[in-house]
Amino acid sequence: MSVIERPMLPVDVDSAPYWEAIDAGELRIQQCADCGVYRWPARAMCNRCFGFEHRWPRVGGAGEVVSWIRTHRAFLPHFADDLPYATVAIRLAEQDDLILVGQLAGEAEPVIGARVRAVIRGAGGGRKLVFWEGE
Amino acid sequence: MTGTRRVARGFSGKAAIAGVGFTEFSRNSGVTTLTLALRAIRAALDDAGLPPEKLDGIATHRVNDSASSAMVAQAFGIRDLPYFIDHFGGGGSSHSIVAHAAMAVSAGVANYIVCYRAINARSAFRMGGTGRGFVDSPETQYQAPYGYYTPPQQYAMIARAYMERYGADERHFGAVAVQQRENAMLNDRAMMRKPMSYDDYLASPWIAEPFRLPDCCLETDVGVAVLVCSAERARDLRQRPVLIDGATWGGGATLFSIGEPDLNVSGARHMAPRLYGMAGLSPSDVDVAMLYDCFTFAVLLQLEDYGFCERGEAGDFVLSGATRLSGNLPVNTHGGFLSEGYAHGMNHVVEAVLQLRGQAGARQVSDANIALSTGAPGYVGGVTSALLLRGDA
Repeated sequence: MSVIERPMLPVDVDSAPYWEAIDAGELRIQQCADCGVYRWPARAMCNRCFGFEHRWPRVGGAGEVVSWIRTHRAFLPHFADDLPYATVAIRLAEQDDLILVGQLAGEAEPVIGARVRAVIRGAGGGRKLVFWEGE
Repeated sequence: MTGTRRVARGFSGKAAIAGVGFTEFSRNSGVTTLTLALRAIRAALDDAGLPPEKLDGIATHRVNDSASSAMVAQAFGIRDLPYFIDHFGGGGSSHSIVAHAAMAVSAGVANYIVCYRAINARSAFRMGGTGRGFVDSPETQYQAPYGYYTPPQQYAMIARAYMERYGADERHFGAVAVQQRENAMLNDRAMMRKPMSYDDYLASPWIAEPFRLPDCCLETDVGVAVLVCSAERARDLRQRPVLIDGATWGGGATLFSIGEPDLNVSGARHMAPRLYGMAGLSPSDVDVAMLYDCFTFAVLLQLEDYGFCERGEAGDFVLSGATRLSGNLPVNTHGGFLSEGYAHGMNHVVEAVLQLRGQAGARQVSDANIALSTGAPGYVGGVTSALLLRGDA
């Protein structure tokens, strides 16, 4: 995968700890401090127990490919020289409704059901992103 | 089906659609969204035979891309508007505004409410960011850096999971596109009336695999309006009333939020029992269905969500010809968003009304008396809405 200048959007207040952790090379997901349910994306309140308290634990980084697509149009101009490219949906091992959109670290075609592990890499412009590589 | 089985008849059958109107479907209207709205509203009032002075309610949905109800009220010289709603939202909210209008006239808040959607969705304000800034949504910061941002990508992700799980493939997607094109060829207002074979479908370019170009809806400049009033008032107007027997709201969890681990369950699936319950109807009562077809795959999912076939069976149901004009359940008889044009949902309501009034011309479904018309199923936007309509006796 070529290193391109990716569209890094403004970060909302709730999500700032996620991005700070990524820049520090760690995958952290917001978790309810009362009942332990992970929240994705980061939000003020737990949607199971309705508690507001939370913490940001590191997660194991193990996941499974649940779906993928291959984009052939430059919907975002940043990717015009990178077409076509694959995007994956990854279900984290921690919780069955914790599904993140991302990309594989290599060029291989994604396979639904494949087990993957998070790796954090430079994404251009001094920023980092989580990618996924086969176990 | 899952979901809370609250069978509330509510305002079932108390309100009616008394008129429909639309502008030309084009790629470049050359006019403002206010002009599109006014042309469509005037057409709907003329269709109903209602003098414009009688209009006392205005409902629209928009995503900061269209003329407001206040602008329309000013254009009609209204100084005291008894009812309005400027509903934020896209396809999931399209049928909601008709439901709101039905509820309002049933409650006696207003007498004649026009519901409109007016967009320059090709020439000025394309979905997915072209021509505007990034959508203000907490998900986008996590997705755009990976080049994942637009509706075809979002729905393609769900479609691939469905294909893997149920063995669906391009034959099933292609059949939806080809059948709707056949319908559009019988519809003078449709944008895409050139014949399209399955081979043409296969030869078309990829957009976001597994979607090819004909899997994706058109982008359209258009205004569409429907007039809602009480069933009694509708019977005094020009057209055969179309009664609003079912009108429901639903949704919540999306593909991007926690709360729904199954990629192939939409808000519509949870809502459908409530819709049929309100109308006192079942799927087998439906004569014709306008299913929100932002993408071919959305039609397959809704055939299952709304109970016309079991999960995983929609592809074969379509291939069997059941959804053709000659089949047991004609679907998107106008050509849908794929071939008529994309009015964000309201053109489905118009086609359902024309079918129930027996005014669908060469594509008329014989003895059509009950129609289902649906908004976006809720995968992406989170909310959904739908209507069950009945031709008045």
